[in-house]
This record gives sequence, C-alpha cells and structure tokens, in this order.
Amino acid sequence: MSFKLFYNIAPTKNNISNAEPNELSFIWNDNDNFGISLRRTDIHDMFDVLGMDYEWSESEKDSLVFVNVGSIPHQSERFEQVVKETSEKYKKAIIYTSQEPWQLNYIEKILDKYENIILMDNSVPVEGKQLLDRYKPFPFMILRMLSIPSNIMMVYPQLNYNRIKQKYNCLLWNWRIEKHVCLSYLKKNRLDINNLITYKKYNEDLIAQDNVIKRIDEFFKGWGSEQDEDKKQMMNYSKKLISSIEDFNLDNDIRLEPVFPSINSSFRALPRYVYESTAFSLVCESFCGSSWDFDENQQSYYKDSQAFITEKTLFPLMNGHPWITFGEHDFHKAMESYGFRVHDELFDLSFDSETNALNRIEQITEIIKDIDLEFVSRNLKYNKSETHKKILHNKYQMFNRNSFLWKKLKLQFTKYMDEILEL
Amino acid sequence: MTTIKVFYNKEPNKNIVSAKDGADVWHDIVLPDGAQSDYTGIGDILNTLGIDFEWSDNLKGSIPFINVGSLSHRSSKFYKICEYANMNYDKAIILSTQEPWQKNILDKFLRTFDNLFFMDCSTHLYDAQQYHKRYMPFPFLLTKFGSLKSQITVVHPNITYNNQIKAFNCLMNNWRSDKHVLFTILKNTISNFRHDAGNLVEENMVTYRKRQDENSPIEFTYANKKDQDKDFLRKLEDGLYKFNNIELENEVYLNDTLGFMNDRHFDCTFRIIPEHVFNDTYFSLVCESFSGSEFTKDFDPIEQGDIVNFIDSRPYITEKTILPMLNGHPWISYAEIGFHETMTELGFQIHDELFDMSFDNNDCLIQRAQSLVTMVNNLNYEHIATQVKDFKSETRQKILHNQNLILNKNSRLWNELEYTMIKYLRVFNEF
Repeated sequence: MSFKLFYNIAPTKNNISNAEPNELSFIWNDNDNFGISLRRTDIHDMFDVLGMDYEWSESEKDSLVFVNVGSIPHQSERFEQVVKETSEKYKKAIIYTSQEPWQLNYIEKILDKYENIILMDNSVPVEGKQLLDRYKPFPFMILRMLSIPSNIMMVYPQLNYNRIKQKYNCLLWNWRIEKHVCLSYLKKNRLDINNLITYKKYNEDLIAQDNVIKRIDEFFKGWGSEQDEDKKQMMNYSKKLISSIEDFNLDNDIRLEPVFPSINSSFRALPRYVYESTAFSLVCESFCGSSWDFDENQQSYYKDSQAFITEKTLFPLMNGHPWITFGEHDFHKAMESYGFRVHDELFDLSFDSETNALNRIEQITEIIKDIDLEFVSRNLKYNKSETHKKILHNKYQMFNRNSFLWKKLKLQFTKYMDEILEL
Repeated sequence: MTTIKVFYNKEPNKNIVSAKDGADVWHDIVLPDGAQSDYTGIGDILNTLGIDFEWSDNLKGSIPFINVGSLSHRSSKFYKICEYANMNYDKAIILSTQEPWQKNILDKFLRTFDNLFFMDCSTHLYDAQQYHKRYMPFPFLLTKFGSLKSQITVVHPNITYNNQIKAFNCLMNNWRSDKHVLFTILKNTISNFRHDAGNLVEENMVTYRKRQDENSPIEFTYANKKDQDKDFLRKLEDGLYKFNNIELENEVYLNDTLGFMNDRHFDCTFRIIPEHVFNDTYFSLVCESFSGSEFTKDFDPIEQGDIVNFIDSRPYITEKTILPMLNGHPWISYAEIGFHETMTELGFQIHDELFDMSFDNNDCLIQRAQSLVTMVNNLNYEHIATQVKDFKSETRQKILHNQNLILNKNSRLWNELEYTMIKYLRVFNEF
C-alpha cells in the first residue's frame, strides 16, 4: 500500500515554518549555508528507511498530514500554538517529531483539548500496548541512524581489539542532570582515573548555579537520598563537584570542515581510539521521563512509552563495541525487545529492572569497579567468544534491511499509519 | 532462500586473502600501529541487500568470497590469487566490489579456472541474464551508497534551485582518457550561455587533473576511421601537455587530527561534493567511468533503427552519477553507450525533458562526447531554469523519484538488486 503524505508548500517541505524567518530551525539538518531554515521535513526519510511506499499529495483527502515540530519544547507556548493552528486548519493531523520525546502529562493535556490531533514523538512504544489511541510513540532515533539525508554517519567497519588500554569510555558531553550524577558516582569511586571520560559543564549563560544545585537536590531527593546516608553523601559530593569541575574534551575530535566543526545532531563521528583504546562503552542514555507504575505484584510497568533508546547506545553498537547503559529502568530489556543482544556475558545486568535510578548507577559503578579488564579484552580478541557473536549479531540487526529489528519497526509503523487513516 | 553461509578462514568479516597477496580493498586499511585490518566488505553488501546470511568456518555449504578489491585483473598477483583459490577450494568467487573487469581477460580466466566464479562491479545484464554462468557482474557501487560501513556519504538535503550562476558542473579530477576527451571538447567550445563568453570550461564549474605519467603512450581513436577529425586528435594530443589542473573551490575536509586521515576530501570511502557545486549550477554534466562493456549493434525491424545489445555487462554506474542524483540535482552523463537507457531499465528517470538523449547510442566515444557537448551548449537555459525552480515540473518530479529509488529500502531498484544477487548465489550453490 502506498501512503499519501500531505504537503501545503512543496514535497519534502514542512507543513509549518519557523516563527521568525531568520531564527535557527527547530528541525535538525535544515539550514542553508547561513544557518537559515529551508523548512525541511524528514518524515519521508523515515518512510524511506523503513522501506515504506509513499507519494506526496497536496490534497488532504486520504493523506497523512504530518506537522513536524522537531525540537520545539512541548511545554512551550509555541508548541501549543502550533497544535492549535494545526487543529483548526486540518480535519486531522499528526504533530510529529523524530528528535524528541514528550511526557505523558503534556500528551494527555493536548489530546484532551484537541480531538483531531495525533501525537507522534521519538519514544519507544510499550511492547504490545498502546495507552492512548492518538499517542503513537516510535523510536525514530534508530531510523535516523540509517538515514543518509538525516545525518552524516561515520562508522568504523572493523575495530582493532588488540589495542585496549582502558576499561571504558563514557561520553558525557552536554550537561544533563543524569550525566552529572553518573560522573559524580564515577569520580567518587575514582573510576574516572585511567579511563576515557568527557564532560561539559552546564551553560552558565543559560542556567544559574543555584538552579543547577536545586536540580541535583531534587534528583537525589526524588530517589530517596533523605532516607539513605550514602545517597545523601553522594548528593553533597555531586553538588560540590558543580563548582570545581571543568570540561573534559576528547583529544583529536573529528571535524568536517567548514560545515561541521564538531560532532552534533547532524554529524555523528568519533575518533577511532574512543573504541579501540577502551574495552567497552559505558553509555549514559537520555532519560525521557516515561511514565511508569507498580502493578499489584509490585512489578514495575511502563504506561505510555518504555526506556528511551538514542544514538548514545546505538553508536557503539554500530561500531562493534560492547556497551552497558545507565538509562531508564529496563533499558536493556527494551533493547532485547528490538532484537539486540545485551552483554550479560560481561556484565551482571540485574540492575536493569531496578526502578531507582540512584540504585542503578550505584550497581553499575560496582560492576565497573569489579570488572576485569583482561577478561573483557580476552573476550574481544577471541573471535568465537560470545561477546564477538553478540557484536556481529547486533550489527546485523542494525544494518541488514531484513533483520528482525527492521521488520518489527516497519510492522509497528504500518499499523500506526493504518490506525491514523481509520480514525 | 535459506540463509547464505559466507566462508571465513581467519574470522568473520576478514578477507580470505590479504594485502600481502595483492588484495587492495578500500576499507582494508593500515592502522597507525602498522596492523592491517584485512577487511572484506561482502557482509556489508549482503546486509544492504537484506539477504539473510551467517559466517561459517566450515567450507561445506558455504561460499568463499575472495575479495581482490582494486588489484588489476591483468596482474600476476591476480592470477596467483586465482591459482590459490582454484587449488584450495572446490569452488569460490573472485570478487571485486570496486572495479569492473574486461571480457577478453575474464574469458581467459573462465577458461583456465573451471571452478572459479568472477563477480565484479559492472552492471548486470537485463533480468540478471548471464553470458557465462560463472561471470556475475553486479553494480556494487550502488550498494555502497546504501551501506554506512562501506563509506561516509554526505548528502545535502537542502540544495536550492534558484541561485544558479553557471550552467553546469563537470568534475573530472583524476586523469582518465575519457575525461581528457570531454575536457578537450569543453575547452575548445565557445559557450553560448553568455554573450561575453569564453569557452565552456571557463564559463562553467569544471575541474581537471593532469595525467601523472606523461610518458606513457595514449591512442585516441574514432570507431570509424573514415570519420576521423585530425585537427581534433591533435588538440587531444596537445592538451596532454598544455592543460593545467583546475581544482574545486571551497572543498569540504574531514579532519581526524590523529593524522590518520587528515584533510580528507572526496575519496573512495568519503563521498562528498560541496553543496555550492549543486546550488550554483543548473545540472551536473557527469563524466562517468568506462568499464569496457562489450556490445553489438543490430538493426531492429520494429523500431526501424539500431539497438544496442550488451554481451557481458551493461554500462558502468558509479558514484559520479549517483551523487548528483542523491543530492537532487539534474544530471546527464558522458558514459558508455546506452548508459541512460540502462539507467531507465533500472528504474531511474532520465532528464529527457531537458536534454536530447540521441547522443547516447553513438558507438564512437569521441563523437558521443562531441554530440553531447553541442547539445548542452545549445540548451534553452530559460526553460531549464523554469523547470528546475518549479517543484511541480517534470524535472523536480524526476528528482524526487530518483532520490526515492536510491533511498527507499523497498524500492524497485533494491528489490531488483536483491533478486539478482540471490539468483547469482543460487547459481553458485547449484554448480
């Protein structure tokens, strides 16, 4: 079946424009040489990667109207304005982003208010369950990694596993609370020494230090630091770290000059040594704030979307590097549900179902402390090891267009599109 | 089809032969510490085609792909690798995903080694027919564009269609005789595009690189000696010494400051053309590579004209034509005879709404270039400007169609390529 994608200006162009002609685009990779938006959308790139048949149409009838809001914050007035205008203009439309995840309380508010609006963000759907008919989370980040027009990707076809000197790399560039917490645990346990870590301080021009301290306070207290002396001590350490720590940069970063002076959302490249000098990648994933609860058996379950998967985990996997992720709870389970194999032959992943983020990072820290570099190196060097097989398997899932992963993604997306057309 | 087993003798993803044997695989790089990666790209190709496969170190039921890369098929090392494969395997595929081979040489190998199959990057015959069941041409350069591990591909998703300052771009870095022919004609043709015009090289965005080895003899010949233009042949000869390098302005560089790949610009695993090349010109005049596909010209009583029948493979398709298409730029190619027809057969839409394609079936490569340049120099650029600017025009529809054909993983092109490869592998398994 061929889907019809509606356009109101021209094919491949977004159905909304920037508020101001000269402002930076909210869509990644949408700019001319002067940084000005050309009103590009990327929905067709997603259809292409999934191998779904589509055509462009300027008739709304039987077409899917995608309004791409990119990285416009869903809490903002601008977002609400776009939804309102879209709701008034079209019979039904999909407010869509392939870049960002949204939170349930905002999603519910929008869907309650606008009956003809469908929301589709970059989140991971809950296995076999859809909380709201008009909310259709989809892990677009996986698609973006394989889309040539969406970003420039630099993947090493084969790593040399004979040059490992350090246990792990952990790239914490761009300040986020979970990255800061992760670094705090690593530093406090002196695991930053002799390993490859990057870090970027919060942007002092945008956030006052008091506010950063407040966020750390809230994060730790939210996960029970008031009832736990160790966590309280860690919170104090984490707060102190804010004023003492400096940026850690990667040596010899890759640049595409003059277009992309460093890695960003449209240029994904890391120097080879990041993977070849370290035995594994400790990934600090983004936390999207998926909503979850406990059932009557005290088992946790996700309501709207499950643990968030981004390029942070996918990139080491595509490059053939073992990985362990500090993400939302059941992150590794989410990866398995898409056909990836987790490295439980190297790491005790029992922390994965732990719902308390601080307990999770504590346990990860212990794993890293205890892991034997020689053991991991041996596994990497021996090409018949389980680790090697998993690396091959995961690359196959990502790169083979008929793998379980791509079949599953296509099936899910087709189901969504059919449901939207029937609404 | 059941899961294909790909044989390895060292480890998965490693080539069966190495650089020491003469294999010259693009991704088989020498690392800073001197180690050789011995990489073979066959897994990446199968992944891109969506073919189910697994690696096996057991020869029984598995396929040994021996990747020789760019090793010349005329070299003694190539012969030695074939000898090695002939003696060590019941049957094997000698593979190059990078280079096309010529029929006269291949025939000798096919006769000498009756258990070897040869798979190069020429374009397969229509409906995956084969002139010899052990020769399997496959347009691997197309599949490389679908594989992130094969190369870094840079596509500019936002080229503009309303700020052109020149008629066309024609990028001819690295000397080849066909590029020299086209450059000579462009250099000796006064441009009609502007009234104060110089020649077509001066007035357009043309690059050229002088021949490195100036002493090796070159013979430029017309297919029909009676048609020889001696004056033009002299210009070709003179140009070998007179023409200077012309480089592209504002190149894009990939910099890894470890020095491992410092200041890389366009190469075999980094495919980028700066955006201004497309923004500043109406179309890309592509000088394709020539692989030497053999053909006959026969009279077709229905069409009442000559038709071209390819014998071993169809015209060679490379990144030179694919990149403008991916970037959404109109294109026309100076290539092997019947190139545009072959592109049409593969599902691409050619720009016959802009260009008269009658030059495409001229079997003399010099006359083909001359007809093409004459046609390009007499184009109605107002018409082209209107076509290119209007997103509803035939040209823009074709641009979208061609991008979709390459980028959509379930397009007719990818299904045909998958079908062709599966057919080949079945022939191998049944042999």
